[in-house]
Amino acid sequence: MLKAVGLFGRKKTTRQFKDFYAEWFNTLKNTLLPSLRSSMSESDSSLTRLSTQMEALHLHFQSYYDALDLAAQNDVAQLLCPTWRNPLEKPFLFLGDFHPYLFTNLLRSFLTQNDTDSDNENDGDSMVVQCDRGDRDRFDRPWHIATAWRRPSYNLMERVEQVERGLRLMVPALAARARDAQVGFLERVARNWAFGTHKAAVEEAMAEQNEEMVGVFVDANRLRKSVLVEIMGATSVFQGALFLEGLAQFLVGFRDPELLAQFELCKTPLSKQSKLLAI
Amino acid sequence: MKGISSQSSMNYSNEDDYELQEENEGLLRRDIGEGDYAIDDRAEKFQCMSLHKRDTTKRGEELSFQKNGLWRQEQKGRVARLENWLKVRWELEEIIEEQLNRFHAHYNLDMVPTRLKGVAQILMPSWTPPDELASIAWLGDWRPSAILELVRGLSLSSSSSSSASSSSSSSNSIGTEQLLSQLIYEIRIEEAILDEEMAEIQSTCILYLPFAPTNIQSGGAALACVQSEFKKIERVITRAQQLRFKALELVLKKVLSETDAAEFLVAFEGIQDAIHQFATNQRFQKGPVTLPVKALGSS
Repeated sequence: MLKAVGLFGRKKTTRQFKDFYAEWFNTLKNTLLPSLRSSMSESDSSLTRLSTQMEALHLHFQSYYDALDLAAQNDVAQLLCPTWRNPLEKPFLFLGDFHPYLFTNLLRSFLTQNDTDSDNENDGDSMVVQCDRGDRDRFDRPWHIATAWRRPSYNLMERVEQVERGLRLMVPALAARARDAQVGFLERVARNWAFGTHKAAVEEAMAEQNEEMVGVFVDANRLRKSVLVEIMGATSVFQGALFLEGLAQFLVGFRDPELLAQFELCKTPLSKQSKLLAI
Repeated sequence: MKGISSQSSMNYSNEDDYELQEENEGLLRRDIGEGDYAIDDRAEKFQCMSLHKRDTTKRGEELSFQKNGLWRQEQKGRVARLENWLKVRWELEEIIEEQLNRFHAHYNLDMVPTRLKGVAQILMPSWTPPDELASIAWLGDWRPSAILELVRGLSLSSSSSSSASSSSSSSNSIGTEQLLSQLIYEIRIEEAILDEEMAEIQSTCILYLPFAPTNIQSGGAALACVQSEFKKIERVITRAQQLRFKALELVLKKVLSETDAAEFLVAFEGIQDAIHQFATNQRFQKGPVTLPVKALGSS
């Protein structure tokens, strides 16, 4: 009996990150995103309901970064090149996940799109705005949602610029820390190489470098998390809901089976020119 | 006595030369007229000199004549050894050149993605274990400035352990150190430029990919958007590979002498192998990355 409990306990203490991510992704795709969308398209939907859905999605993203931090203590190297991400996603990952600039760029895309929208706006008194962006889910949106990005507050613009300024300082610093950790690793390996203790040299140096990389990775996640918090704090409920919907839809888009199949089968050479230049 | 001391003062460096000396003495004592005696090249040469001696030298000068002959012999032996060494050096030069050509083909031709799905494979190659990627890689392979840092680390360790072979490199070590620092600085700038370009692609993909909120596309148009983004990444990868090759070329051609370059190549391969072996082992021992189960409650 005790043995059974022991086995049970050991089995349950840890879980593969890959499984966690699959479940996390499915919750996002099948539960949280559809719920948010449905509360956004109903014109009589209460603000409280929308706010709750939005907060749930925001927390879902935050919990993912918390999980990344926890898993980093186990093995940061695997998180930096995650095998559970597909070949369409991998090239767009910076230190294991979305680049922190991506969040502010998404926000800006709403702001600039609004500029072009408002130029040909003549449906001010209509309660429903027709969207012609080919997005089926967003054909009919209540007026307050569709116009959420018009006339963004001065406070929002100021906060976005502030966040961007911070990122411009912190992102290169993260990249430099990652580089310096690698330099430190090679310095230690080289120093001990002459003494012939090759395996021990690598082992010791890698342990130290690993520790530094955990710090860099956790800080990158902290940056991503804080940018999200900043954005959610500076936007209205409708703006925040549209922002999170866009982010979630973007993440889901990477796994669109039709696009992935086309991607896998595509035989068109990426660039003939580069091959010729290299010769 | 004088003859012995003068002979012993001739600084013969090895047994071969002693044998040569005995052989020559024997020849001298013999009547030089018996030209047929000479068989090998060395003896033949000595005979010519002895004939010459008969015409020009007088008695009492035999010793200096003998010394001259011995000296010529010794020189010949040394030159032959030098010649061999030069041949080896030319071979070394060729091997290094060959190795450099291989690096060129590897980085600039083989390791450039040609298809969409190849891009991820170059950036996060499945043949490289994660610990190896984390410790040395930048855009999928050795960080160019890290190659130069490795040269610095290795040369420092060889001069501190004062190995006999590094006398020339330690006299140049200050110059080499300065050159290395300058090159590391320059290569790092180029790395930072590519980092910036990659960051630009990674952060603006949310505007251009076909599932970006403001750019929803489907079918062929969607794939075209993906291709356009991947072409941008491919250009960054191509330039990163060129930079890697440039770093190696600088190390092997500009920073190090041939012997040091050869030593570096041996160490470089050894270090790569040690890192690869260790990282593979780590991956196997650690298993897939996990997180504590209590964290799941918060999701």
